[in-house]
Amino acid sequence: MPPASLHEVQRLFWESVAVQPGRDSISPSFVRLVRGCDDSDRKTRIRVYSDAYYLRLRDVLSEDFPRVAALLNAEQFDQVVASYLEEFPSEQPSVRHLGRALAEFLRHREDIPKSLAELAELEWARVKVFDAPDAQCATISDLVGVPPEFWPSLRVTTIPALQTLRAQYPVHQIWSGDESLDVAAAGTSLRVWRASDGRILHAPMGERESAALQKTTSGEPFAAICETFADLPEMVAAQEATALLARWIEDGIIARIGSVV
Amino acid sequence: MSFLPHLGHGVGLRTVHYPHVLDKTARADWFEVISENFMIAGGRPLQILEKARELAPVVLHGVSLNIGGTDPLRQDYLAKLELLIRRFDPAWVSDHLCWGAVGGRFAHDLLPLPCTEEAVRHVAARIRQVQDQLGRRILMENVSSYLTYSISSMPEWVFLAAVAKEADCGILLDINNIYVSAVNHGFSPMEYLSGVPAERVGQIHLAGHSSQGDLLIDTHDHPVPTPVWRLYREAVRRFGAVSTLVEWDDRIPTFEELVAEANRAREFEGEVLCATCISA
Repeated sequence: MPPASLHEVQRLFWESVAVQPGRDSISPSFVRLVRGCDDSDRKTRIRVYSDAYYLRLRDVLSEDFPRVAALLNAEQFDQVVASYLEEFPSEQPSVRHLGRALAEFLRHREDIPKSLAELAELEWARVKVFDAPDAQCATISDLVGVPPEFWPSLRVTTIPALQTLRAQYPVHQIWSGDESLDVAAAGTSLRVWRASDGRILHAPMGERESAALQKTTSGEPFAAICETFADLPEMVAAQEATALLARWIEDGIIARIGSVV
Repeated sequence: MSFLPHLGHGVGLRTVHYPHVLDKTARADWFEVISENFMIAGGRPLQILEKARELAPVVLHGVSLNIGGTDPLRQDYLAKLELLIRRFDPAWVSDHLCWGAVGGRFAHDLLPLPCTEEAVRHVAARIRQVQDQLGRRILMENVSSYLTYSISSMPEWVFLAAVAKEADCGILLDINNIYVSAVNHGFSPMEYLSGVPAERVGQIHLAGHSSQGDLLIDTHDHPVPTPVWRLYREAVRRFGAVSTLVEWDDRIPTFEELVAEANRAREFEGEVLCATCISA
């Protein structure tokens, strides 16, 4: 029998350490490829790698989803991680992408509360903004410099390190609360962003703010943002919209005051 | 004598050290950073690395090149590495003589290669491809291992030397990894050192390890232990003054303790070189 090729060695290695994370799935063909006193010694050596694979990636997920990990008990979290890795192994050289599908994965599990899947979505949004591209933030003085006649057509750009999400549960409360998922369903919109000092922040948004931010990220002008306050008197609507824009600037989610059309 | 500049005795820069970079108290001869941690679009880590570069030379050390893998080299990875090199102008770039992915799936581990002629040819060709693409010579590091293969046809040090020669690359010699593998596989670490081509050694790594049953595990979570220091002294005797770095990735001590460990390496190097001078 010819010696195993490099590719075959690696395929058998992977099959033995990573196909069924957290479980013993050592291929007999791989055992034969490993030097050792006996099969027990060979398997002990292989298990160093299979244990390391599972534990390392579990730690990564635990760091990226600290609240999800805390709200599941250790045994549940271990089971979730093992099943997740089986279905969604890492496909990128950087381990930073490992948790890309965890929220979706949890959403499809019947034994996991929906609020936990939504919490995972919030935590993943926080990971995504952590290393999103940098941008120069707008300042209030940029706003002051805009001539009044140009306000209706004013377009602003949000920073790349901003994510928005909608949830059926107040996941921001679960994120910051005690170790409990015991909250009532309540439609929630959140924005998640990286502040100019590097901190990762999130905040709930009311219906108006959520709609206004969606219009802004779609590239609509200030006049369209004002429309979200259309039920108010025109003057008040403009004031509310301006105050909202000022708050966004203070929070550091507006990249620059854009083109005046 | 190393073919690279002697930067002195540096430390691996990790997240917990960032405050020291920001307040400019991160005093070390040089810093080594994990390349993949900075292959990002933006954010604080890149800003920290800019600041670290103002304090001391920086070296990029990769963990996911998958140079020994049989999947094609990832062009997106190499493009990101090139961008990092252009932006931070590292003193040199290194990765590991191992594999870490197959079938597009990454283990995020440094997995051992069989020491065969096939692997020498395969890995050397890929190193040459990377060096051509980056326009620079890179260093390959020997990894710790917990298993070896029945199909291996040469000792690891012969494999390392053969790959380095055929690829014309440098060697990042990890003294702790030699010691860990020597204990795990029952070879002589001194024999390993004597098989390493001195002219290719561009950097040395030092670290601590842990025990797990009969095996030593490369955990980087302890001070450099006595047997590793002993082997380091022997390495200095053989290779002369080579830029040396202390790695510490888990249970990381204070920055001052880390630098103290690097200074210890400096003292050992000085003692050995001084003794060599006197005896000559």
